[in-house]
Amino acid sequence: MTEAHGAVAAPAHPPEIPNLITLITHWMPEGPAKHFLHTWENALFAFVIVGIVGGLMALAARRVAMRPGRGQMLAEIVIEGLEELVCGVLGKEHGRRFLPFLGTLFLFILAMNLAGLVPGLKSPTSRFEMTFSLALCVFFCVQWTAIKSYGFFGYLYHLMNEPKDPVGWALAPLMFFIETVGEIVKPVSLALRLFGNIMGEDTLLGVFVVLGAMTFAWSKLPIGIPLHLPFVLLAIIFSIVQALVFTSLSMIYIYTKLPHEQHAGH
Amino acid sequence: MEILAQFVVNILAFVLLLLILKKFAWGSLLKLIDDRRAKITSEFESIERTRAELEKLKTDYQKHLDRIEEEARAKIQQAVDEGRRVGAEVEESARAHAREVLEKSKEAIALEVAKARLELKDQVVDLAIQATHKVLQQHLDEETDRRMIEAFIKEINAVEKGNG
Repeated sequence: MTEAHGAVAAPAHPPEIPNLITLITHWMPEGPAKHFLHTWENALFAFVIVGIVGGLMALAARRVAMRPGRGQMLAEIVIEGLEELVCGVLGKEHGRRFLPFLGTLFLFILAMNLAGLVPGLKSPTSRFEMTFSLALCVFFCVQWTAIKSYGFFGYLYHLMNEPKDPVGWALAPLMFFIETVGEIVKPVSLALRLFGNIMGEDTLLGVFVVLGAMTFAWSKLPIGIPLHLPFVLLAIIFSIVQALVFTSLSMIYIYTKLPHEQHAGH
Repeated sequence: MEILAQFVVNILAFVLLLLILKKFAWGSLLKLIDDRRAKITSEFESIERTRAELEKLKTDYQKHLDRIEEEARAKIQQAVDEGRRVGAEVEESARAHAREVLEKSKEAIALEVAKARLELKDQVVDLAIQATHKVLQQHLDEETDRRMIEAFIKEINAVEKGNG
């Protein structure tokens, strides 16, 4: 709480609910360990979330059976839901091919978004480094799909808006530039949207936690009001929506790079 | 440089989760879901096949039942016809027998009547002879004759009543 209070006092950084690492570093002396924890805080939480999500899924899939237990049933509901979402847009064949990537992306982002609501954890997606890293993954996946669909030179030709006459060829460099910028802007917009929403959500929660903590500050007693609770439900909805938006847009970017005859098929 | 390292580490975290989920979620669980779907589909097809077979069996059974009912109805009708025929025969036979008995009775009655007439005739003759004898033996006066003749007629009537 002190950290959050301190964050309010220093407006250069948005206020955040304290997590385990901020609490640890608060009591640590200045040094390389403290600097390391501060620098790699998000990455550490990302790996913690990888462990939690991966561990839960491994636990659910430990003893798979035709008649599933509760854990397996829950995991199957999630997997089937994602499969329906992805295959519904990309079609059965391509959907199955991209399901691991898009499904993992959704689960990872959702878990990271929700982590901000768990005491002691933090949303790594509230930092641009994480959202940009994920957007980079999407960017490479989309470009790789495009090159596989069109061929390397075919894709370059496609980026030039497929000119067929002298006018088209004359405009080709301009079109190439515009299309390339468009391709770069797509992941950047993905990253910024997710980062902005989750950062805003965490900041809102942080501000209300600080306000709640400061309500009875005059009494010098360690008590407060959980003013942030009404926003927790909102944060849960936002977390799901943002994970869905990121995944859906990634799916659509991939879809636009699939061979044309596949487009016609849907 | 530090931010680049963070990008790489974050991507590594994602790739690590991708690999873990590929092994468990997108591997075994998705395969299980596919297997279950295939099993459910095949079981539904099997149920459909069984249902079609049952429908066919039911139709056959109904046809068989209808045939049996038809045969039973025909047999009952045949038995009824046979009964009617036998009844008619029995009735006809009884009527013929009755007619025969009646005819025989009529013949016997006619014979008895003829026989009685003959007997009556003989008796009348005998009485006439007796009366003649008496008249011849006791011819006294007109009054006596009249009494004798009346007595004779009474006797004849008594004889007739006795035969009748």
